[in-house]
Amino acid sequence: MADNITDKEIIERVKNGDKKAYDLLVLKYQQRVINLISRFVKNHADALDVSQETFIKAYKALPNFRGESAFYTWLYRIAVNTAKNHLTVQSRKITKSDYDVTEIEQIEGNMSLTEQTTPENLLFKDELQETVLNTIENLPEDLKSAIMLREIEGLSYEEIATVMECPVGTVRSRIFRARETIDKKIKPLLKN
Amino acid sequence: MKKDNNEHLSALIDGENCDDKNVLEKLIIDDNMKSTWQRYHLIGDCLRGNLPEKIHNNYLKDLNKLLHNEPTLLSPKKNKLFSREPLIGFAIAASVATLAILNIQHRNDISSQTITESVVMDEKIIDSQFDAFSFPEAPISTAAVQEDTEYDLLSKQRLNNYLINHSRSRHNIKMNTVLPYARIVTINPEE
Repeated sequence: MADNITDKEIIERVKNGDKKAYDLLVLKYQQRVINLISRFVKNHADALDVSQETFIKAYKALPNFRGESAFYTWLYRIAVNTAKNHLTVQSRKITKSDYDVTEIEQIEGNMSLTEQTTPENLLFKDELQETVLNTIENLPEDLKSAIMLREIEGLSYEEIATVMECPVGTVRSRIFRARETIDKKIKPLLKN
Repeated sequence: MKKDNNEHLSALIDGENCDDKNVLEKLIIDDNMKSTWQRYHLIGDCLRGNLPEKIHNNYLKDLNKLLHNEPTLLSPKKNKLFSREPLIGFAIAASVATLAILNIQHRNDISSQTITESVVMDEKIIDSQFDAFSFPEAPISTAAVQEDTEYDLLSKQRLNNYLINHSRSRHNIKMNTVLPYARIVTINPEE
Protein backbone atom coordinates (compact mmCIF):
# COMPACT_ATOMS: atom_id res chain seq x y z
CA MET A 1 0.00 0.00 0.00
CA ALA A 2 1.39 3.33 -1.10
CA ASP A 3 0.86 5.46 1.98
CA ASN A 4 2.79 3.00 4.13
CA ILE A 5 5.96 4.17 2.39
CA THR A 6 5.57 7.51 4.16
CA ASP A 7 4.81 5.76 7.45
CA LYS A 8 7.94 3.63 7.11
CA GLU A 9 10.09 6.69 6.48
CA ILE A 10 8.64 8.44 9.52
CA ILE A 11 9.03 5.34 11.72
CA GLU A 12 12.67 4.97 10.69
CA ARG A 13 13.29 8.56 11.70
CA VAL A 14 11.64 8.08 15.09
CA LYS A 15 13.65 4.91 15.64
CA ASN A 16 16.81 6.83 14.88
CA GLY A 17 16.11 9.38 17.58
CA ASP A 18 13.95 11.96 15.79
CA LYS A 19 11.28 12.31 18.46
CA LYS A 20 9.51 15.16 16.63
CA ALA A 21 8.76 12.87 13.68
CA TYR A 22 6.42 10.92 15.96
CA ASP A 23 4.12 13.99 15.93
CA LEU A 24 3.30 13.21 12.30
CA LEU A 25 2.06 9.73 13.18
CA VAL A 26 -0.03 11.11 16.04
CA LEU A 27 -1.56 13.83 13.84
CA LYS A 28 -2.28 11.31 11.13
CA TYR A 29 -3.89 8.60 13.25
CA GLN A 30 -5.33 10.42 16.29
CA GLN A 31 -8.91 10.64 14.96
CA ARG A 32 -9.01 7.01 13.88
CA VAL A 33 -7.58 5.85 17.23
CA ILE A 34 -9.97 7.98 19.33
CA ASN A 35 -12.88 6.82 17.18
CA LEU A 36 -11.84 3.17 17.61
CA ILE A 37 -11.43 3.47 21.37
CA SER A 38 -14.80 5.25 21.67
CA ARG A 39 -16.45 2.01 20.57
CA PHE A 40 -15.12 0.33 23.74
CA VAL A 41 -14.95 3.24 26.17
CA LYS A 42 -18.20 5.19 26.08
CA ASN A 43 -17.09 8.11 28.24
CA HIS A 44 -15.42 10.54 25.85
CA ALA A 45 -12.94 11.92 28.38
CA ASP A 46 -11.84 8.37 29.28
CA ALA A 47 -11.56 7.47 25.60
CA LEU A 48 -9.28 10.45 25.14
CA ASP A 49 -7.05 9.35 28.02
CA VAL A 50 -6.91 5.78 26.70
CA SER A 51 -5.95 7.06 23.24
CA GLN A 52 -3.11 9.09 24.79
CA GLU A 53 -1.97 5.98 26.63
CA THR A 54 -2.10 4.06 23.34
CA PHE A 55 0.21 6.54 21.61
CA ILE A 56 2.64 6.46 24.54
CA LYS A 57 2.69 2.66 24.54
CA ALA A 58 3.20 2.65 20.77
CA TYR A 59 6.10 5.08 21.08
CA LYS A 60 7.80 2.92 23.71
CA ALA A 61 7.24 -0.24 21.67
CA LEU A 62 8.27 1.28 18.33
CA PRO A 63 11.77 -0.33 18.38
CA ASN A 64 9.95 -3.70 18.31
CA PHE A 65 7.87 -2.74 15.28
CA ARG A 66 9.41 -4.62 12.35
CA GLY A 67 7.15 -3.32 9.62
CA GLU A 68 5.74 -6.77 8.82
CA SER A 69 2.25 -5.29 9.02
CA ALA A 70 1.01 -1.77 8.33
CA PHE A 71 1.69 0.68 11.15
CA TYR A 72 -2.02 1.27 11.70
CA THR A 73 -2.69 -2.49 12.05
CA TRP A 74 -0.07 -2.60 14.79
CA LEU A 75 -1.39 0.57 16.43
CA TYR A 76 -4.95 -0.80 16.21
CA ARG A 77 -3.96 -3.86 18.29
CA ILE A 78 -2.32 -1.66 20.94
CA ALA A 79 -5.41 0.59 21.05
CA VAL A 80 -7.84 -2.34 21.44
CA ASN A 81 -5.72 -3.97 24.18
CA THR A 82 -5.35 -0.67 26.05
CA ALA A 83 -9.10 -0.05 25.85
CA LYS A 84 -9.85 -3.59 27.13
CA ASN A 85 -7.38 -3.18 30.00
CA HIS A 86 -9.03 0.11 30.88
CA LEU A 87 -12.44 -1.55 31.00
CA THR A 88 -11.11 -4.34 33.23
CA VAL A 89 -9.58 -1.84 35.65
CA GLN A 90 -12.78 0.23 35.66
CA SER A 91 -14.99 -2.80 36.39
CA ARG A 92 -12.72 -3.71 39.33
CA LYS A 93 -12.99 -0.18 40.66
CA ILE A 94 -16.79 -0.23 40.42
CA THR A 95 -17.17 -3.59 42.19
CA LYS A 96 -14.92 -2.40 44.99
CA SER A 97 -17.41 -0.73 47.29
CA ASP A 98 -15.18 1.25 49.61
CA TYR A 99 -12.55 3.62 48.25
CA ASP A 100 -9.90 4.91 50.54
CA VAL A 101 -8.56 8.46 50.36
CA THR A 102 -5.39 7.47 48.46
CA GLU A 103 -7.40 5.76 45.72
CA ILE A 104 -9.65 8.77 45.25
CA GLU A 105 -6.58 11.00 45.00
CA GLN A 106 -5.07 8.67 42.38
CA ILE A 107 -8.25 8.68 40.30
CA GLU A 108 -8.43 12.45 40.49
CA GLY A 109 -4.77 12.73 39.52
CA ASN A 110 -5.41 10.64 36.40
CA MET A 111 -8.15 13.02 35.33
CA SER A 112 -5.73 15.83 34.49
CA LEU A 113 -6.19 15.33 30.75
CA THR A 114 -9.94 15.26 31.05
CA GLU A 115 -9.93 18.59 32.86
CA GLN A 116 -8.16 20.24 29.94
CA THR A 117 -11.03 19.41 27.62
CA THR A 118 -12.58 22.84 27.65
CA PRO A 119 -15.31 23.76 25.11
CA GLU A 120 -13.04 26.14 23.19
CA ASN A 121 -10.63 23.26 22.47
CA LEU A 122 -13.44 21.14 21.12
CA LEU A 123 -14.94 20.89 17.68
CA PHE A 124 -17.96 18.73 17.13
CA LYS A 125 -17.88 16.11 14.41
CA ASP A 126 -21.19 17.23 12.87
CA GLU A 127 -19.97 20.80 12.45
CA LEU A 128 -16.80 19.71 10.67
CA GLN A 129 -18.56 17.13 8.55
CA GLU A 130 -21.13 19.65 7.36
CA THR A 131 -18.44 22.14 6.39
CA VAL A 132 -16.41 19.55 4.48
CA LEU A 133 -19.39 18.11 2.62
CA ASN A 134 -20.79 21.53 1.71
CA THR A 135 -17.40 22.59 0.34
CA ILE A 136 -17.08 19.41 -1.71
CA GLU A 137 -20.57 19.95 -3.14
CA ASN A 138 -19.48 23.34 -4.46
CA LEU A 139 -16.20 22.13 -5.96
CA PRO A 140 -15.80 21.92 -9.74
CA GLU A 141 -16.66 18.41 -10.98
CA ASP A 142 -13.07 17.43 -11.87
CA LEU A 143 -11.74 18.39 -8.42
CA LYS A 144 -14.67 16.68 -6.68
CA SER A 145 -14.16 13.42 -8.62
CA ALA A 146 -10.41 13.45 -8.03
CA ILE A 147 -10.67 13.92 -4.23
CA MET A 148 -13.49 11.37 -3.90
CA LEU A 149 -11.65 8.73 -5.93
CA ARG A 150 -8.57 9.25 -3.79
CA GLU A 151 -10.08 9.54 -0.29
CA ILE A 152 -13.11 7.26 -0.54
CA GLU A 153 -12.15 4.74 -3.23
CA GLY A 154 -8.46 4.74 -2.23
CA LEU A 155 -7.22 4.78 -5.84
CA SER A 156 -3.63 5.69 -6.66
CA TYR A 157 -2.83 8.76 -8.79
CA GLU A 158 -2.13 6.49 -11.74
CA GLU A 159 -5.47 4.72 -11.39
CA ILE A 160 -7.30 8.04 -11.08
CA ALA A 161 -5.47 9.28 -14.17
CA THR A 162 -6.75 6.25 -16.09
CA VAL A 163 -10.31 6.74 -14.83
CA MET A 164 -10.33 10.48 -15.52
CA GLU A 165 -8.31 10.17 -18.74
CA CYS A 166 -5.76 12.80 -17.80
CA PRO A 167 -2.04 12.88 -16.90
CA VAL A 168 -0.87 11.91 -13.38
CA GLY A 169 0.43 15.46 -12.82
CA THR A 170 -3.07 16.82 -13.43
CA VAL A 171 -4.51 14.36 -10.89
CA ARG A 172 -1.96 15.48 -8.34
CA SER A 173 -2.83 19.12 -8.96
CA ARG A 174 -6.61 18.51 -8.81
CA ILE A 175 -6.39 16.61 -5.52
CA PHE A 176 -4.24 19.34 -4.05
CA ARG A 177 -6.60 22.11 -5.20
CA ALA A 178 -9.58 20.28 -3.73
CA ARG A 179 -7.78 19.84 -0.41
CA GLU A 180 -6.68 23.45 -0.37
CA THR A 181 -10.25 24.67 -0.91
CA ILE A 182 -11.64 22.47 1.88
CA ASP A 183 -8.73 23.39 4.14
CA LYS A 184 -9.52 27.11 3.82
CA LYS A 185 -13.03 26.39 5.12
CA ILE A 186 -12.09 24.16 8.05
CA LYS A 187 -9.04 26.09 9.22
CA PRO A 188 -11.07 28.76 11.11
CA LEU A 189 -13.01 26.01 12.90
CA LEU A 190 -9.84 24.47 14.26
CA LYS A 191 -8.28 27.71 15.48
CA ASN A 192 -8.25 28.15 19.24
CA MET B 1 6.63 28.58 -2.30
CA LYS B 2 4.10 27.70 0.41
CA LYS B 3 1.69 26.50 -2.27
CA ASP B 4 4.42 24.31 -3.76
CA ASN B 5 5.22 22.89 -0.33
CA ASN B 6 1.57 22.09 0.28
CA GLU B 7 1.25 20.41 -3.10
CA HIS B 8 4.26 18.23 -2.27
CA LEU B 9 2.71 17.59 1.11
CA SER B 10 -0.56 16.54 -0.53
CA ALA B 11 1.33 14.06 -2.71
CA LEU B 12 3.29 12.81 0.31
CA ILE B 13 0.05 12.15 2.20
CA ASP B 14 -1.09 9.99 -0.69
CA GLY B 15 2.25 8.15 -0.74
CA GLU B 16 2.94 9.34 -4.29
CA ASN B 17 6.34 10.37 -5.59
CA CYS B 18 6.86 14.06 -5.13
CA ASP B 19 9.56 16.19 -6.72
CA ASP B 20 10.78 17.64 -3.45
CA LYS B 21 12.69 14.89 -1.68
CA ASN B 22 13.18 17.04 1.43
CA VAL B 23 9.49 17.61 2.04
CA LEU B 24 9.43 15.16 4.97
CA GLU B 25 12.36 16.93 6.63
CA LYS B 26 10.64 20.31 6.18
CA LEU B 27 7.40 18.86 7.54
CA ILE B 28 9.02 17.63 10.75
CA ILE B 29 10.43 21.03 11.65
CA ASP B 30 7.74 23.36 10.25
CA ASP B 31 4.73 23.78 12.56
CA ASN B 32 2.56 25.33 9.83
CA MET B 33 3.18 22.39 7.55
CA LYS B 34 2.38 20.05 10.44
CA SER B 35 -0.98 21.77 10.92
CA THR B 36 -1.68 21.42 7.22
CA TRP B 37 -0.69 17.74 7.41
CA GLN B 38 -3.18 17.31 10.27
CA ARG B 39 -6.02 19.08 8.45
CA TYR B 40 -5.47 17.18 5.19
CA HIS B 41 -5.69 13.92 7.12
CA LEU B 42 -8.74 15.26 8.95
CA ILE B 43 -10.47 15.82 5.59
CA GLY B 44 -9.76 12.19 4.63
CA ASP B 45 -10.99 10.87 7.99
CA CYS B 46 -14.12 13.00 7.67
CA LEU B 47 -14.92 11.63 4.20
CA ARG B 48 -14.31 8.03 5.30
CA GLY B 49 -16.41 8.45 8.46
CA ASN B 50 -13.49 7.94 10.85
CA LEU B 51 -14.13 10.96 13.04
CA PRO B 52 -14.93 10.69 16.75
CA GLU B 53 -17.80 12.75 18.18
CA LYS B 54 -15.46 15.50 19.39
CA ILE B 55 -12.24 16.74 17.84
CA HIS B 56 -9.58 18.19 20.11
CA ASN B 57 -7.28 20.95 18.94
CA ASN B 58 -4.74 20.48 21.71
CA TYR B 59 -4.44 16.73 21.47
CA LEU B 60 -0.81 16.66 20.31
CA LYS B 61 0.22 19.34 22.78
CA ASP B 62 -1.23 17.33 25.67
CA LEU B 63 0.33 14.12 24.43
CA ASN B 64 3.73 15.75 24.05
CA LYS B 65 3.60 16.76 27.71
CA LEU B 66 3.28 13.10 28.58
CA LEU B 67 5.85 12.01 26.01
CA HIS B 68 8.31 14.60 27.23
CA ASN B 69 9.60 12.29 29.96
CA GLU B 70 10.04 9.35 27.61
CA PRO B 71 13.60 8.73 26.46
CA THR B 72 14.50 9.27 22.82
CA LEU B 73 14.50 6.03 20.85
CA LEU B 74 17.80 4.92 19.45
CA SER B 75 17.72 1.64 17.57
CA PRO B 76 20.90 -0.43 17.88
CA LYS B 77 23.10 -0.50 14.78
CA LYS B 78 22.87 -3.70 12.82
CA ASN B 79 25.82 -6.09 12.90
CA LYS B 80 27.64 -5.29 9.66
CA LEU B 81 28.87 -8.88 9.12
CA PHE B 82 25.34 -10.23 9.15
CA SER B 83 23.58 -7.30 7.52
CA ARG B 84 25.94 -7.13 4.55
CA GLU B 85 26.37 -10.81 3.97
CA PRO B 86 23.54 -12.74 5.57
CA LEU B 87 24.80 -15.91 3.85
CA ILE B 88 28.10 -15.77 5.74
CA GLY B 89 26.33 -15.89 9.05
CA PHE B 90 24.12 -18.71 7.85
CA ALA B 91 27.12 -20.70 6.53
CA ILE B 92 28.99 -20.33 9.84
CA ALA B 93 25.96 -21.47 11.81
CA ALA B 94 25.44 -24.44 9.49
CA SER B 95 29.13 -25.49 9.76
CA VAL B 96 29.09 -25.31 13.54
CA ALA B 97 25.89 -27.36 13.65
CA THR B 98 27.34 -30.03 11.30
CA LEU B 99 30.54 -30.32 13.36
CA ALA B 100 28.51 -30.61 16.54
CA ILE B 101 26.36 -33.40 15.07
CA LEU B 102 29.40 -35.34 13.76
CA ASN B 103 31.15 -34.98 17.10
CA ILE B 104 28.12 -36.26 19.02
CA GLN B 105 27.74 -39.22 16.64
CA HIS B 106 31.44 -40.09 17.01
CA ARG B 107 31.20 -39.94 20.81
CA ASN B 108 28.09 -42.13 20.76
CA ASP B 109 29.91 -44.78 18.66
CA ILE B 110 32.85 -44.89 21.06
CA SER B 111 30.74 -45.01 24.21
CA SER B 112 28.40 -47.72 22.86
CA GLN B 113 31.44 -49.84 21.91
CA THR B 114 32.93 -49.43 25.42
CA ILE B 115 29.63 -50.25 27.06
CA THR B 116 29.21 -53.41 24.97
CA GLU B 117 32.70 -54.63 25.93
CA SER B 118 32.20 -53.97 29.63
CA VAL B 119 28.77 -55.57 29.60
CA VAL B 120 30.15 -58.74 28.04
CA MET B 121 32.82 -58.88 30.68
CA ASP B 122 30.45 -58.22 33.59
CA GLU B 123 27.98 -60.81 32.35
CA LYS B 124 30.73 -63.45 32.36
CA ILE B 125 31.57 -62.63 35.95
CA ILE B 126 27.99 -62.45 37.22
CA ASP B 127 26.83 -65.61 35.40
CA SER B 128 29.66 -67.59 36.81
CA GLN B 129 29.08 -66.20 40.29
CA PHE B 130 25.52 -67.48 40.28
CA ASP B 131 26.90 -70.95 39.85
CA ALA B 132 29.35 -70.79 42.72
CA PHE B 133 30.52 -74.39 42.53
CA SER B 134 31.48 -74.28 38.87
CA PHE B 135 33.25 -70.93 39.14
CA PRO B 136 36.19 -70.75 36.73
CA GLU B 137 39.74 -70.37 37.95
CA ALA B 138 40.31 -67.12 36.05
CA PRO B 139 36.93 -65.61 35.22
CA ILE B 140 38.21 -62.36 33.74
CA SER B 141 39.39 -62.79 30.22
CA THR B 142 42.88 -61.41 29.79
CA ALA B 143 41.99 -60.40 26.24
CA ALA B 144 39.37 -57.98 27.54
CA VAL B 145 41.81 -56.27 29.83
CA GLN B 146 44.95 -56.24 27.75
CA GLU B 147 46.07 -52.95 29.17
CA ASP B 148 46.13 -54.20 32.69
CA THR B 149 49.49 -54.65 34.27
CA GLU B 150 50.67 -57.92 35.69
CA TYR B 151 50.04 -56.56 39.13
CA ASP B 152 46.46 -55.72 38.28
CA LEU B 153 45.88 -59.20 36.93
CA LEU B 154 47.24 -60.71 40.05
CA SER B 155 45.08 -58.50 42.22
CA LYS B 156 42.01 -59.33 40.21
CA GLN B 157 42.72 -63.01 40.48
CA ARG B 158 43.02 -62.70 44.21
CA LEU B 159 39.83 -60.73 44.29
CA ASN B 160 38.05 -63.40 42.30
CA ASN B 161 39.30 -66.05 44.60
CA TYR B 162 37.94 -64.06 47.46
CA LEU B 163 34.57 -63.86 45.71
CA ILE B 164 34.60 -67.59 45.11
CA ASN B 165 35.26 -68.20 48.76
CA HIS B 166 32.61 -65.77 49.71
CA SER B 167 30.14 -67.36 47.35
CA ARG B 168 30.78 -70.79 48.77
CA SER B 169 30.56 -69.68 52.35
CA ARG B 170 27.42 -67.70 51.57
CA HIS B 171 25.79 -70.92 50.31
CA ASN B 172 26.95 -72.81 53.33
CA ILE B 173 25.59 -70.36 55.91
CA LYS B 174 22.65 -69.19 53.74
CA MET B 175 23.74 -65.54 53.97
CA ASN B 176 22.11 -63.16 51.46
CA THR B 177 23.31 -59.79 52.65
CA VAL B 178 26.11 -59.29 50.12
CA LEU B 179 25.11 -59.21 46.50
CA PRO B 180 27.00 -61.57 44.16
CA TYR B 181 28.37 -58.75 42.01
CA ALA B 182 29.61 -56.57 44.89
CA ARG B 183 33.31 -55.82 44.89
CA ILE B 184 33.92 -54.12 48.22
CA VAL B 185 37.40 -55.41 48.74
CA THR B 186 40.66 -53.94 49.99
CA ILE B 187 43.68 -55.72 48.71
CA ASN B 188 47.00 -55.83 50.41
CA PRO B 189 49.61 -56.80 47.75
CA GLU B 190 52.11 -57.84 50.40
CA GLU B 191 49.75 -60.55 51.69
